[in-house]
Order: sequence, then structure tokens, then C-alpha cells
Amino acid sequence: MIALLRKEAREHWRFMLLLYLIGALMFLLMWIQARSAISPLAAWRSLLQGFGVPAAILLPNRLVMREYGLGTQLFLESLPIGRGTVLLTKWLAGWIGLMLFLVPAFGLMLYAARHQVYLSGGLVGLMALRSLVFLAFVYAGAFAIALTLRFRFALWGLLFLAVVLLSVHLQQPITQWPPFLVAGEAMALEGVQPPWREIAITAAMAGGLLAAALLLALSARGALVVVLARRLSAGARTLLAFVFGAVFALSTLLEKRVPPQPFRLEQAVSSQAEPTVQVGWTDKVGGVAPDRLAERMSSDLAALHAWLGLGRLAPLSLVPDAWREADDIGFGRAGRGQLVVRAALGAPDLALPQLQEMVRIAQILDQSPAYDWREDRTWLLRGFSAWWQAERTAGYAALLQRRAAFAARLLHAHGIGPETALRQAETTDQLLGDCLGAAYAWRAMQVLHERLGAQGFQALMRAALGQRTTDDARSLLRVRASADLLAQAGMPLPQLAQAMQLAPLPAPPTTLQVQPARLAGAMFELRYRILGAPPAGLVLGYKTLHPGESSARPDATYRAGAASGVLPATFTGGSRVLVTAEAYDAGLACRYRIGAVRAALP
Amino acid sequence: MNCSLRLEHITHRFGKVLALDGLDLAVPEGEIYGFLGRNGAGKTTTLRLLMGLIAPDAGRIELFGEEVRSVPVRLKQRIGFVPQEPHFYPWMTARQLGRFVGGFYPHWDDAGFERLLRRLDIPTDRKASAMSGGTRTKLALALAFATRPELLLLDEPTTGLDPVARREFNDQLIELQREQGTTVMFSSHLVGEVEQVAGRVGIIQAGATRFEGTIAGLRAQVRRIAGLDQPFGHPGFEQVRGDVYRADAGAWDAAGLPPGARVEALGLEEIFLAFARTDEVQSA
Repeated sequence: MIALLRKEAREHWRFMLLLYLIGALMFLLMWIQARSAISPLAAWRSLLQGFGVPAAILLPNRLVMREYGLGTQLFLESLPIGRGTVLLTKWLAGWIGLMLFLVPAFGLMLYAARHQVYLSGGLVGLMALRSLVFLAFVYAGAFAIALTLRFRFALWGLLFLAVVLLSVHLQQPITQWPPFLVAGEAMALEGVQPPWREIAITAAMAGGLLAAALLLALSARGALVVVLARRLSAGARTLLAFVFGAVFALSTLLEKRVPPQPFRLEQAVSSQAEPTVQVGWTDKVGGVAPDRLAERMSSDLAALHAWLGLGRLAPLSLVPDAWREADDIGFGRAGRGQLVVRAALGAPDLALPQLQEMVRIAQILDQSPAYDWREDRTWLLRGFSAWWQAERTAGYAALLQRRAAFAARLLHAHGIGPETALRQAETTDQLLGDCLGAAYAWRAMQVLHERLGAQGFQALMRAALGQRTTDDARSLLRVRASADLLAQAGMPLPQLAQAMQLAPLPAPPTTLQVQPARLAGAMFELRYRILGAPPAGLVLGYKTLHPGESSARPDATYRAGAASGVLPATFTGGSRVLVTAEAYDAGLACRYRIGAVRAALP
Repeated sequence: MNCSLRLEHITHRFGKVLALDGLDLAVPEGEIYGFLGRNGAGKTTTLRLLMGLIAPDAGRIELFGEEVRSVPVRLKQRIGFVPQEPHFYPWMTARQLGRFVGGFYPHWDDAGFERLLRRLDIPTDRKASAMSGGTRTKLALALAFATRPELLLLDEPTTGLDPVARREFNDQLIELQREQGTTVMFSSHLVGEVEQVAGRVGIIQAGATRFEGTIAGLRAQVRRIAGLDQPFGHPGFEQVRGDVYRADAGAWDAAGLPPGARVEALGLEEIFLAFARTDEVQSA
């Protein structure tokens, strides 16, 4: 066996060296990338999946194919060594080759991360165990498939198809199943319940695959493998390639062919009228009983449907989400043609008008997803929804008026005029926050309604928001620019901005300052300070910004007790962070944004 | 007679194909045994069986006096093998191959291998992929003899070699066999070659042994009866094919031939052809 191991090492050392060089490069890149991840140990998981898995597939494939493909196994068979020993030695050679890189890489990663993460024995041991079990599974599977020699590509194709089919049909994402869960994101995190059951299942599967490989190798005294090593005929190869291509092409359609499970909200209160609105909360929502709220929303949507000339409205469900702030309302699709709006339905400070505004936006965007892609359409969408609400809610217009005036004051302080504010709606929203951003857009709608008259305004809104578009790039060409629509309606954007102009007001007396402070190693903490009068109900939001990221919404919030302090998180040097500060204004009945700061850490 | 190898009533099937059909043979110790047969007669299957790569469906194998069901690795260490076409690792040189192969044999003779390389004129630093077919075959022979085998199996080793290279190879084989006293089983379908190398032959046809003995004995038993008007049906005489008959040497002397008929001695090739074409006679 030693002679065979030496032979394998001499035969494959160049390939191994190339593999190690690629692995080292990937390790370096993943380490750099992991500096902005939740834990630097995430680099190990990335290396395991990005390098470990391909290497565990390539190595046995090469070890088996070089022997049987070249026919040198006939030479080995003439020597006093069993076929089982030959295969076992190859198995060991590949595994040793894999470990020769990954074990030092694991050690190096732990050494480099020792000052950034608390490395408990449990965490390190569990990471090592999960990695070993996962790699053993991939390696044993790849070895068994490699032994099928001329059918190996067909088997890989079938395996790929099976994974795609499973991912379509399974209720849970396939990443939550063994063996994928074993090498999941949580493997680099301390304190997460270890998935012992999944580890055991993966280990059992690896053992089964190893047994299958040995069975295949030794069946008919190893003659089966020799037969399988014969090359396929040109016709068979062509047929196989064609079938593989066809299966691959069909697999891309599977998601569209299999309808997802319908979304059902158990024990929800549903409206009687169309469109259906379900409220998944048995207590009052924003002071309104759920059945009344469902009917009211259904009626409101029916009126919107007629006014804008929309297509058939999708059933909509209001789902409670206790993790959200009262003013943080989100929406999405659930299954085919169904909408879900998530909000803190039980929160006492939930603003019903804001919830209704979001329900309308969800319905309009459902019919024209392309609006979500266009920055020039968001202020129209949000402003219209607020305008619709104000037309039907007593006193709401006065509140919006106050908010719009405050928003204009903040924008003025930032040196942004109305035209820029409308053209760069994303920036405006980032500076103002959701509440004031919507109010500012409402102000534009109010001006449009006054200047164009009821019919002109309706025609403009139908043209701007009543189109049905698809969710692909073609719709970007079909959706006309808002500025063109405004000009066509007789109210060009500069003229609208001029009409929105209010008397200049002094800038609000508060601003946000953020200062990074270096900790041990490459870690930083962020110190914030609110300059000016201390605001009430200060809430700080923050997130690490990744390259190419379009969303600028904080993903973590911190209710600050003081006007200055330290954010409860550490950040890696070299990363970019967004910090926002918001305060609550009782007069405006909403949170407004004091400031938003993007900082690049050295 | 001490035999290194004895096979009795060996049967082996590949699916529906009966490859060996009650094969019997015995290879005496220290002799060169020519194993003759047409392509597909069962020669390679017999050798694969002796290399432990397949097990017989039925029959008895006796190797070095030990009865085995199939050939185990420990007995394989006492057997050398020269294949029809050696599949060496193309990146290995002769010396590297020697080191590799030597790792599997307890009696590997490293100095002897070096001597063999020089004697057989095999370049030591050239990769196997750059060697000619003849050199590769000679290298296979050197590797086999350096293991100091008690039994050497050769599976049509000279197929594909030109006549000069074939003659050189066979001369070296005879010399080495004489020096080491190794028992050799030499499979071939080239009758002249077997005649040159072997003292004893076995003729296999359709998976069964048709004849086994010395070449002289074979010539004495198998002869042609020329001038026959009808088949010769004397007791003790077996018609091999056409006018070729087989009988004990004594029976030939005592046989009363019909008038006009005469006995002619045959060359080994003619005898082999008569045996090898028997199936055509039987199916006709």
C-alpha cells in the first residue's frame, strides 16, 4: 500500500500543487471578504464550499480516471495486490491530499481569527466535525460516482436534476436539509444549537456512499469497474450530451411549471367583498376591529381599482410580525397571485393610515413590478397613496401638511431643492425617512391635483400608475419616464417643483456625527453624537454596506438612551457602514430622520 | 512428475458464453510449457484465472502443491506475469517501474533487475511512453524475472513484435529460464514460436484441452493417413480433422492400413491447425 501511495503522490503532485495554489488564493480572497461578514470564521465556510467541495469532487475523479482511463489498472492487476486494496489506497490518497491543504488552512484561519472571535473548544471542535462529515460525504459520493466511469457525467446530471426537483418541491429550502445544513451559515457561529441529527444523517450517508463505492469496486472481483471504464461510442456520447442538455434546459423551467403551494392564513378574519383582504390578528389593529378593518380595506381597494383602472386585484393578507417596529411595514408575494403585508399588527402605536398606504402600494406594484425598479416612479407611488388616504381621512391632510413642511425644512438644510428631491427620490427618502418622505411626495400630489384638476390628475395617475407591466427588463423600456408624463399633462417637473417651493425656514437644530474608534486588531466601534437639542425617542439604525448593494435601509436598530454613545456592534476595518438617527416628534406623529451618515472604516 | 500448476475440470462462464469448458492441464516444475490455441479459445481467461482476477465456476486449482479456490495474493507473489501489451505508467522510467514493482514482492532482486536492464538493452532513463513495443515487452520480462518467480506466465508476449525482436525475446526467455530454473507457461497462437521455446505443449480449443504432452509425443500421436477412399475407422484411432488421425504411438505401428494408404508425419503447425479447425468439422 505504501508503494501505491508513493505512486499516487508522484503521479498527481502537479495537479495537487495547482489545486493548493488555487485554494490558497481562494482562502485569501475569502478571508478578505469575511472581514465584513458576521464572523471572520465565515471564511472557513466559504472555503469549504468554494474550494473543499470542488476539490473533493475533482480529486477522486482524477485518481480513478487516470488509472482506468489509461488502462494502467491492467498493469496493477498483474502485481500481487488486490483490487480492493488498490481502490482503498486511491480513496486514502485523495482524502490525504484534501486534508493536507484543509487542515493547515483551518489552523491558519483559527490563528488569524483568534483576536476577533472567542474561540471556544466547543465551537472549534464542532466546526471541525461538521467540516469533516460534510467533506467525507461529498468525497465519498464523488468517489462512488467516479467509479461508474463512463456513466459518471450522466450520474452527475441526474444528481443535479434531483437536487433541483427537491428544491422545487420541498417546503423547506434545500439548504435546511442534510447534508447542506451541516455546512450551513450557522457553522461559524457560537451559541447556535448544533444540528446533531443532521450531522448524524450526513455521516451515515457518507458511510453508505463509501460502502457503495467499495461494493462497486469489488463486484464481480472488480471486473465491473473495468467494463465501465470502456469508452462510450461516439453515438452514445452524442446522445448523452443531448439528453443532458435537454434535461438541464428543462430543469430551468421547472420552477415555472410547478405552481408553489397556495398561501393560507389559518384563523384569519377575511372580508366578504372582493378583493379579499385577510387580517391575521384577532385583536384590534390600530384601534379598529379586524373584521371592520378587512372590509374597510377591501372597499378602499375596490375604489382604487376603479379609479386607477387596475386589473384584477390579488387577495391580500395582513400578517403580524412582532419583530418589526410599528412604522416598519413590509410586503411581498406569497405563492401565485397573493400578497402579504407584514407589520406589527398588535403594536399600540401602529399608524393605520400608513398601513393602508402600504397596502395600496403593494397592490399597484403587484400589477406593475417595474415601478419598483424606477427611482422616478417611487415618489409618485408613495405620494399618490398618501393623497388617496388624505382624501378619505379627516384631518390627515393637515398632518401631512405639517410633515411636508418639516421635510422641506430638512431638505433645505441639506441644500436640496424640490426638483432634485423629486428626481432623486432614493436620496430624499434616505435623508427624510419613510414618514417624512411620504409626506413630501404627498405635497407634490396635492400641487398636481390643484393645478391639473380632478380629471387631469386622474388621467395622469392612470398613465403613471395604472399600467400593467412584467417583472423583467423589457418593462423598463415600456414604462415612460415620470418627467415625460408630467410634461404631457401640462405640468413639467421644474414647474411642479417651483409650485412646491415654500418659504425658506431655518435648519433644524440637530445633526448626527459618527466617529469610528479602533479596537484590538482590525475591529472598530462607532461612536455617535447628536449635536444640538437632545431629541426624544432617539433610535439609531446601522448596517454594513456591501459593494453593489442598492438598499440603504438599516438592518439593525438601537434605541439610544443618550444623545451620544457607542453603537452596540463592532465593525471590521475596510468596510463601509451606514448609520441613521431618527427621533419621534409628537406633533408630526411620526419618526423623522435626523441624519444618515455613510462612513468608510480605515 | 512434480507440477507447479495443475488445473482439473475448470469451467468458467461470462454470462451466456462458456469460456472454459472442463479445462485440464498440468505444468511440470522447471519446464517451459507452450499453451497453444486460437484467438478466443480460452488462453487469456485461463491466465486471468491463474492471476487471481477471476474465479472458476467449477473445477480444481492446484498451485505449488496447494489447492485453492482462487489464487490469493500471497501465491501471486510467487508468480511473474508478462502481458500481451504491457500497460506501464507512461510517466515512469524503467528504473522507477522497478522500484514501484519491487515494493510488492518480498524477493525482489534489485541488482538482478539492473543486470537484466543492461543485458536486455533497456534504456533506464527513458519514460515508458517513449519506449518501443519491443522494449516495453523486454522490460516486462525483466520486471517479471527480477521478482524471482517460481512460475512465470506469458500471455502472447511477442504479438506485435517483428520477427527479429521476437527471436531475441524468445532467446532471452530461454536463457533466463535455464539460469533461474523457473517454470514457464507461454501462451501463443504462433506455433513456430512455441516449437522454438517450449518442450511441452497444451492445445486448447473451445475452452477445453485437446492435447497435452511433449512436442515429440504430439508428433508421434497425430499423423496424416494419405490415400484413404473412406474414413479410417480402426479402434483406437480418432479422426481429428479430414485425413488427420490421432492414436497412441504403438497403435500406429500395429494399425493395418487399407491398400494404397500411407502414414505421413506432420509438423506442429499442421497438427495445431487440425485441432484448431475441429469445430468447423463438427458443425459441418
